[in-house]
Amino acid sequence: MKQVVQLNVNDAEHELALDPSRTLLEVLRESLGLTGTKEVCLLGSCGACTVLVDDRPVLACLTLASACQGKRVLTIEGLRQGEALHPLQQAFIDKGAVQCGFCTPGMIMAGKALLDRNPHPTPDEARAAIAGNLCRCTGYEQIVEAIVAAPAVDEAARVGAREGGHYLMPDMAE
Amino acid sequence: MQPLPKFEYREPGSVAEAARLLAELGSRAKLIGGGTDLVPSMRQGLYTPAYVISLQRIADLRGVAWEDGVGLRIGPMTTLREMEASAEARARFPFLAAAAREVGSPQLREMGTVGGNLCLDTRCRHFNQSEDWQDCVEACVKRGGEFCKASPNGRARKCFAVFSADLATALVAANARVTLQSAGGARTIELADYYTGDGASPTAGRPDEVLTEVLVPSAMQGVLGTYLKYRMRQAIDYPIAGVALTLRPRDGRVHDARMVVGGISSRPVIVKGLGALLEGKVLDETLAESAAKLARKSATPLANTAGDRAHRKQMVYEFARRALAEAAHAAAGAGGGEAR
Amino acid sequence: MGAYTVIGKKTPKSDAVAKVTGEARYATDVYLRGMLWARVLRSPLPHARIVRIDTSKARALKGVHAVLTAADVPDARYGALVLDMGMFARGKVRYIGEAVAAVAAVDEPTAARAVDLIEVEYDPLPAVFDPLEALAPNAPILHEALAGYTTLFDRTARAMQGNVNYQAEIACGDVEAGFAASDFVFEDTYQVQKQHPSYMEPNSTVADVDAEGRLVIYNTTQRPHINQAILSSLLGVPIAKIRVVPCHVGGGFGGKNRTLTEPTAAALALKTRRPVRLTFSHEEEFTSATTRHGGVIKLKTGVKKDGTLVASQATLYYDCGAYAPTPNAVWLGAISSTGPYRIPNVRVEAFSIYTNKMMSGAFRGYGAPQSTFARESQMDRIARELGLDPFELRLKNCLVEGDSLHTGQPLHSVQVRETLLKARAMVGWKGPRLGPNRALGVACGIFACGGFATSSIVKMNMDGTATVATGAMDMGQGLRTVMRQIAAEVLGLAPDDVTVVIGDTDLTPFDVGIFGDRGTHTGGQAVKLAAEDARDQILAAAAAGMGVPAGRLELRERKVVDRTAPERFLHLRDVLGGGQYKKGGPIIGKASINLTETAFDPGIVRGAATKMFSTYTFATHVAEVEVDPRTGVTKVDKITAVHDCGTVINPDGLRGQIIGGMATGLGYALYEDVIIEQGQVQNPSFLECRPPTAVDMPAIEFATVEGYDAKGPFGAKGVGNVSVINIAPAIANAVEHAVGARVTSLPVTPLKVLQALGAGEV
Ligand SMILES: Cc1cc2nc3c(=O)[nH]c(=O)nc-3n(C[C@H](O)[C@H](O)[C@H](O)COP(=O)(O)OP(=O)(O)OC[C@H]3O[C@@H](n4cnc5c(N)ncnc54)[C@H](O)[C@@H]3O)c2cc1C
Ligand code: SF4
Ligand code: FES
Ligand code: FES
Repeated sequence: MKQVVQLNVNDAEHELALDPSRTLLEVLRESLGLTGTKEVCLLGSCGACTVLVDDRPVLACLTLASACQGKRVLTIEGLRQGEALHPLQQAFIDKGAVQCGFCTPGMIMAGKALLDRNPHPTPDEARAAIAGNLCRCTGYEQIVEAIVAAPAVDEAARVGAREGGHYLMPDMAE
Repeated sequence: MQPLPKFEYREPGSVAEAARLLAELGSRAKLIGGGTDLVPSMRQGLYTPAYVISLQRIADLRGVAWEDGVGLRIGPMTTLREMEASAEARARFPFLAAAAREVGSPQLREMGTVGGNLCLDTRCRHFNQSEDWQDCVEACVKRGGEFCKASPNGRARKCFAVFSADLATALVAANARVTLQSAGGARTIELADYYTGDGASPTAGRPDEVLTEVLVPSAMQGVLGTYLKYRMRQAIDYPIAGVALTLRPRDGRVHDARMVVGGISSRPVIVKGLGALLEGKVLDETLAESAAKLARKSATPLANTAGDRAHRKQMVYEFARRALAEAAHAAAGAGGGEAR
Repeated sequence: MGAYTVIGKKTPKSDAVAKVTGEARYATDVYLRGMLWARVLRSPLPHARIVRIDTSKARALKGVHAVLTAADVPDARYGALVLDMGMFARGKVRYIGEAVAAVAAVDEPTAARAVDLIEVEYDPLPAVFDPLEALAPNAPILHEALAGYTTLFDRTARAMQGNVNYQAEIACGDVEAGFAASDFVFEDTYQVQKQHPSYMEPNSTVADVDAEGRLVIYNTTQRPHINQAILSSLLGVPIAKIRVVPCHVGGGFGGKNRTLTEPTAAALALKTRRPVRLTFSHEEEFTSATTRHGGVIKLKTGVKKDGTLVASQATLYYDCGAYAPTPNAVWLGAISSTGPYRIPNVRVEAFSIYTNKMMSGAFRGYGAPQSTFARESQMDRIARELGLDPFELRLKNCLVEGDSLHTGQPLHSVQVRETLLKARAMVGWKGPRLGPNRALGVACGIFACGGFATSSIVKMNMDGTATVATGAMDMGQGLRTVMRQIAAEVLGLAPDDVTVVIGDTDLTPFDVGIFGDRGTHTGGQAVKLAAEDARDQILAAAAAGMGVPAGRLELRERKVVDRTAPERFLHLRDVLGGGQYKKGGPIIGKASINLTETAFDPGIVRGAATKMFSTYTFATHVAEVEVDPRTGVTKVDKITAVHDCGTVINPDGLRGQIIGGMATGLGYALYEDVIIEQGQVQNPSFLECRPPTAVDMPAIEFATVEGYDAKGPFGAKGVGNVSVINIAPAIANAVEHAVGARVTSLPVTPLKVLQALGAGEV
């Protein structure tokens, strides 16, 4: 039997009639079209589905959507601050921490959870915070660097924070 | 994504209501704490409860508090992260906070609960597999079949699936007690007795009971404790051997020593004879060696989880030695505080 | 080396914004209107004859749109060197997890239920799981019709008998005379496990049939153009009616140099005329995709007292599983089996052998981690028994510029010596022992780099920007960005002015697929040549307008500039935009290259899987470990890597590639192992196969040595594979120096260390 569930996802309220056996990951990806949160192992062993529920980093593949009734869910899509990237997103770009990008949303959410509690983590703290997030591409080094560097990201230097470059139409007079 | 098997979901607001629901639904229902154990098993089709009953809205079941003369009360819905961060736990029983920190990964500790850890299902590589995988083989005891495939000749009629919870092992060493409540009333038992040793049915909890409290008795105050975990990777992996030790140093001698081996058998195994061996003695290397040998003897792993059997046995021995050495060291030092 | 404006400069990945915001679309993110969900029925038996398949109940289930078995699709096979695999098992199944039938239904649960309703009657056959046993005369045969299969390699070697599906032989000099002339001969056997690529994103395809009846494939792949060709031959659909549109790829590492989900999804889409999605479950990744080849390597090496290598005989038995999607790995293993050393008398015999297990295929390192583990482990044994320093032994024998490989291929840009010297300096080498239970281990490796056909198109837009089209895929290694840099450098643009269109077979020219460190090297070279073609056309057009000979003009900062009088220039946008409005356009530069044109000398090599590779890359790795002799547990504290990668194009990208490769090497060395018992994978998940986590990683130091490869773009070579291959032997060597335990099989588990130490109780 379906149950009506109110979910606040990325500051938007949703009222959904859900089968209680649906996980948060299914609802995000398949009902709300938020495919930034990735589906990999579905067994809690990779971290790719990490989202924040009431600011806590959890695995969306093991979380029942019904259990999130009335809670705040933050996914990678909700991280931008207006047009500008979140400093951690920018740091991932600057430090070359992104390769295939499949682990990236989960990594960033795990990193964000750490920074919220500990704004200036050491590299070891950053490493421990992403210990549940697998990445096969990077060997983690640049990801750790990005988390550590995030607090120092220059506000103005974030993608979206400034005017984008526009190409001028060519002079057609000739 | 392949959905979970269908079930109805309930969130009782009180223990009484939860107990009432369980009384009514019996074994058609499963309790869920953080879901980090139950949901993957449901995903693999190992359990298909018709009802899933969450304890998350029962505020009474959450929190860690010290009560003089009673002890450290831990609500079963306390998350492992709260346990590891709890000031009370860290001040009084740092090894319990440390054991909580050894579990899985940050996200799993954020979700996983103390109660779920104590009631963790046993694990076996013949069992924790998908339905498709299981379709290729005959059912073993834990899945309702006749024989245990992990037993040496494959003919045992008993299940030896492994109890792989870190915190539970440490809590057994801490002489913890648990309270189980049903619609018919409550009972409090030693945590050690909560485990049956039967991999197919690892706890003595009845389907209509809720584990409502974990208590580390106040008498345990001042005890020295250690928990050492062996896993292959330094994160995510379950323990494939674990050793918890508590003892009380007094006048340079050992008292009330208790060692528990986890991640090897279907229950946390209390090392027999170890307390008696060490009682009132000065913990020197020879003694530690004999004690560690006892620990090794009590560890009888089967080839049903990761790691090599012989090596896991060796790890128990080694960890036992180390735990004792650490304890001896700590005892010789400030006489108490510094233990993992 | 010139002074570059873009090459070698920090350039953020062009797709990074899409990836950090979650907007990047991967194949599993494609949900089309009316999409059906596919599911595959897989064999529960390792080897059996299919007696009967009854799909009637599945077909009758409400919500099921199609059920396919081998009987419903053309009897066609595909593969890399040996065309041995069909879309579905036909007549018999050869491994647990092989596709037997597939269903398309309205949703996943219905598809799953339908699969359960398919009845298959099997008649079990004896199975073989060990590659050496599979060679025995009376071993069960997997492919009875093997001799009749189409092959794409030179069959002069005694291939194609029994369970051997591919075989290569290399013979140079006189190996017997070499052994006779040696002072010592070392003979060892090494064993390696199957390692899963563990890309994070599962294999997935959405196949759609558009209004004109064309098949459109959204997938995750390293080789869209080959997918297209395979789909055409398997389904009997002309290439023009197939469009492969790869999405962002969530990691490949060779594992997606495959065609696994595409044919099934496509066949179901054609049948139902609806979009069909087939995504592998996490478990299917571990049962029905591909792993690195496991196997056995026998190595016999003759050496002079002073350490000079005289002769080497290697026999490689690679276990390819039930089909051989990439037996080329064996060939690459044969090439790397001498290590980066000069050995005058060499004989290599390499076999790819069928067993009733999940398939082996390409994976980062591609055949070389196995033989490099053997070679580099034995090098340390030789050093120890001869009382030589491990670095000295390697330096004494390493290849130098002008040498030829044992395959007869002349080498260029050989900086292996430099990598050894630099690595030795970086670790402050005073011998391997650092203290009790702590030591360094060195390993040095060679990997074939670049080659095969690729092409590129550079289209100049009228505002002065450029659009590059390439069939060479970016699986996250950053090829898109590297190509952007290369085109920008040639065209005097900023990287942002260049857009790279990748993979879409309607828009991009042919590429054979990304493997063998060929992305940057070969794909990049094609982009460079195409950009140069465009540049020359631009300069010619501008020369007319400026009244200056084209030879005096160059492209710089979006302008065409007179080199002799820089104040005279035209804006690129004026040249292009103006020209285009007048004469039509655009200016299009193009290049098609194949850097592997020379065949091997059949007197030296028999059964070569390829022509000569473009070049080779080299690296030296030093692992610092601490081993607990009581527990056998090895802790890797640090890895120092020195790479010969030619010119560095993107420093952050290079670093990420190298460290990522090390992580994979670390997993190979210590944890990862796809355990198969009676044909069934016992640990089909990340939880049990254990790719390393962030807290398992050692400290890392890395450096490159100056180099320039004449065939690569701006002198660049690849690093993706060579970064993996040395890690396991470096660690195994360090373990021996630390505690005296020599482990000759991977992974180096604590139990093996204890057993090598002769510990009593274990
Ligand atoms: C990838 C992975 C790695 C892991 N690694 C570790 C590890 O290293 N160490 C470790 O110890 N654990 C590990 N775990 C297991 C698990 O995360 C923890 O043990 C956790 O504490 C379980 O708690 P939970 O609340 O999530 O359990 P749940 O899944 O909610 O419950 C587990 C079981 O306990 C029962 N239950 C829960 N609460 C109660 C109650 N109050 N009364 C009665 N029954 C109850 C449930 O019915 C269920 O059968 C791992 C899990 C995963 C997925
Ligand atoms: S221990 Fe035996 S009975 Fe229990 S799950 Fe494993 S194989 Fe089955
Ligand atoms: S998908 Fe949730 S942890 Fe892997
Ligand atoms: S960037 Fe590919 S898995 Fe992390």
